Amino acid sequence: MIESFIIGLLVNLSTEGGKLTLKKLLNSSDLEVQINNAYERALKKWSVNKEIRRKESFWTATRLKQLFEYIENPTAETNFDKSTQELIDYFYQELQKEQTAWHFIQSKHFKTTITKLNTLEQLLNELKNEKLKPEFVFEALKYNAKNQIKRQISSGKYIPNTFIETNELKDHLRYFVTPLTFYSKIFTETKNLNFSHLNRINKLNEKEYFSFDITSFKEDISEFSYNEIFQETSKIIDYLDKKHTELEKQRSNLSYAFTRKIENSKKSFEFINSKAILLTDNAGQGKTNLLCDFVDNVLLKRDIPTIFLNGFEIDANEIGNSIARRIFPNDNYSFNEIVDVIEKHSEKKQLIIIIDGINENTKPKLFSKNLETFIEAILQKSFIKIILSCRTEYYENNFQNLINASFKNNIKLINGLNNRLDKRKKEKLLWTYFNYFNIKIDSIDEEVEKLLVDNFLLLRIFSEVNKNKHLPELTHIYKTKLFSEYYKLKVKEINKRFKENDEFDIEGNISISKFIERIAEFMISNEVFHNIPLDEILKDNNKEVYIRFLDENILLRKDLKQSQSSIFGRKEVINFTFDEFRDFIISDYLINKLYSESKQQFEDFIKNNLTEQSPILEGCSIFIYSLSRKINDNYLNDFLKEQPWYNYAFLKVIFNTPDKEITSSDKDHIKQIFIEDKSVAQQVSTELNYKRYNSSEYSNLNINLLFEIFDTLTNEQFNELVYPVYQNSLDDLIKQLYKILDKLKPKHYVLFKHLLYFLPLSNKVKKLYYDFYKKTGNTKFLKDLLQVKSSNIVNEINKFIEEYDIQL
Amino acid sequence: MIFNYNDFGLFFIVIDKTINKEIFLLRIGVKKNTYAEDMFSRMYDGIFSELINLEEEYETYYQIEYKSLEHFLFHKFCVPDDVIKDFLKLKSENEDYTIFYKKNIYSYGDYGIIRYAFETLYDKITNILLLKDYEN
Repeated sequence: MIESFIIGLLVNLSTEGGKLTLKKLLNSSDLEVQINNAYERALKKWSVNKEIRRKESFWTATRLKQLFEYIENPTAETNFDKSTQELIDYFYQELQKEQTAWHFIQSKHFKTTITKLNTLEQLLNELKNEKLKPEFVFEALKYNAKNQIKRQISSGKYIPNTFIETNELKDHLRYFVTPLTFYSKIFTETKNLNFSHLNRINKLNEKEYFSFDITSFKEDISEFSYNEIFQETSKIIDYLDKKHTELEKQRSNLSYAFTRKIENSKKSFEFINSKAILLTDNAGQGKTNLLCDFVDNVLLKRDIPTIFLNGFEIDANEIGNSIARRIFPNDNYSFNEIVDVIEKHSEKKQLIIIIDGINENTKPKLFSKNLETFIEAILQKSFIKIILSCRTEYYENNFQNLINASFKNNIKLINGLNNRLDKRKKEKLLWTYFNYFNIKIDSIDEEVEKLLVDNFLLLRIFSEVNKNKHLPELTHIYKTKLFSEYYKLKVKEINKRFKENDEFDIEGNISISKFIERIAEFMISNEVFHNIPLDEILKDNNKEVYIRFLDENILLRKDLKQSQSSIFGRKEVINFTFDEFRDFIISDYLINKLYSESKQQFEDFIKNNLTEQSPILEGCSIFIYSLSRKINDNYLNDFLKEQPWYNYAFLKVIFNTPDKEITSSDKDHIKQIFIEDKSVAQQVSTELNYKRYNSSEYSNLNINLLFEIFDTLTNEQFNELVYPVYQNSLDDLIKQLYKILDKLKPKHYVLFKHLLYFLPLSNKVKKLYYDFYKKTGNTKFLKDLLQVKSSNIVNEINKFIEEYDIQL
Repeated sequence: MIFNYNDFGLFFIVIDKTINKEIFLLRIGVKKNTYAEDMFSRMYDGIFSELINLEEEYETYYQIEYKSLEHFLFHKFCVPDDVIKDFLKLKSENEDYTIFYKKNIYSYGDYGIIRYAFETLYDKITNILLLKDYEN
């Protein structure tokens, strides 16, 4: 009786349902602990090899049932070997040493409970079988996958329809998940590989004929089992390998192109045959976006049974059963029970298990070890395939065992998802984002478009901030305003998610703004701007919540850094995904907090850290100046004006500030620095002439300021500050103006006034201006320029008027 | 018409699917057993080598994922909208006009003959592939 109880008990222990039932029955976790301890001691006696013990401790229901059936009926015939029998004997001995457990197991009360439990268990089993009907299981899988997609949409990690197929990657994943469908496609493409040109050239060069023919392999595999497909594909891969080697020996430029064709085919077949894929890339490169898109548009549409989870959702101690709990949160089915149902009813479709972000598991070392064992076990079933994704540096540190495991020949490592997008794909992505975020833009400046497509993180930030907006004309990205709005938006959104639902599956209240403030404070007080030690920031009770936040969002990321104290140790640090956003946060803290708390500390920090070699100089100088404009404090303004970077920041900000916010003192400052510095003169000329000639669009800061400056310049100043800017580009300017002249509109007139200032430089200017005069009869500009300080210009205007007989 | 995604990448072309080498050479107007026949024969091989019927591929393997041929071209291959419209307009002229593609325009290996076909003789060759009359 006792033995039979132990059998039942331990069989049940291996399933989640059993564990819960056991807990209810024993009413004390001590008993469960004692039984586990007894088994662990038995294992230690049984084997000195840790690895063997670890594997043996990975129980499965079937294995344990067989094991203890022997004890229940020692005389019955079993298939156990001597070693297994030894283990059972040790376990029996060790259990007797656990007083509480042993006494309880022997007690009458317990035996009565067991009888009741058996009846109850029978009932539960019936209910369980009812719920584990295939239609329920497949429905639960779909529900789980769709739910995961929804969660990733709401976290912003998945933006539907924005995944751009850049290379063969998505097709390779298709081949991997549905070999039966795509085998024939790859087979046909490989069969059609053409080597006739190679052989024609070989013949001319008296080289050997290269034969290539895969028709001896099976083309139709529709009736094949998974193992048969695997075997047939392996044979084709061997053949392609052989042919590849043969061709490589020819070593000519031409043969290289042909070897590539064979390589590509081989790679496609390898995806058919692989059992596992590990995708690695750096943070923010779209691993989740790819996997969600793949589940959403390939697996669900093709009705392929899919389990789609994130690494943090899995219990590293019990991978299989924690997956089972995610699929059936209110039941206690084991992973194997669910898999058995899928296997019996999947109609030749494979079960795809996807674990996104394995690095996000809270116990990475343990998870890595147990994941290897888990994959080893599930890959015994030929109908299961697994896709994992991992941040590159975490893969290198924690998960490299996966690529060297017993299944190393069946796992494909894909490192780097996005090869550089070409211009067309970038443009497509830009408009896909605008479409998804419902942003209507009537016209977009070429430079702004370039800025957005070259930096997807900025595009993402811009899109989120401008969601559901109509922007008639997009001529500038005002980064200070953009980051400020984005920051507020994210803090509000993340705090709301924490408070309103249990999506993060973690209890606790956090304040994201305080968290980021703490990071800013650390950076400023320690003068450290990257690799901020996580332990220094997360000292309070809600550490786990903040770590989840770090895994979830795109503002910050966790990285691994080699520890200086140990050559083996690496510690986790925080970095900003986007350096400009870091600079914004530092600047915001400096202006809105430190400056009001301690002007001295503020000034010291600026003097010590915004120096020529500083990584934060470029970003912080611009944001500090930009933010200082909002608070308009005279003391602060005077202090900033003394800084060597002030004019740089001023010019960067002033031409990216909404026109209505430009003040008369801004314009005076532009006038002042124009005559002080040649490079400033060049920048101001370009900005005002090319970008701000339209005064109805820029009523405040426009080309008229340039004319005001020009009017006060001497001949020498023109020669030094203005004319060199146009030295090589005057002809181009003239060409452009001729084009404009053909479709002349009143807003363009000022461009011809600008041209007049270059009269001393070229006769072509005279000719063009005369064409403009003939078309418009405009004499005002000539009159205006007779008033300027430069005598060269005045003389040239007078000559021009006389030469072309113009009446003013 | 053709759409060459980039210099060494995807290549799309609309062809009258009833064309064969005999018709192609007849339309070119080469004499039998001449160097010209050999060269244009290679040109035909070069164009049709490893060419994939995109519409068949869509129907057989991808229809379940993409709701239309236009979506397939746009989302899977990133073919621009205006090119897709031109393809479909051309296709509407004749039911035998079919979109084909290959992964690499030069996969045949003879770069010269392909450039000659689609650069020097572009109008003539694309018209012949559509079995259209062509007057030089």
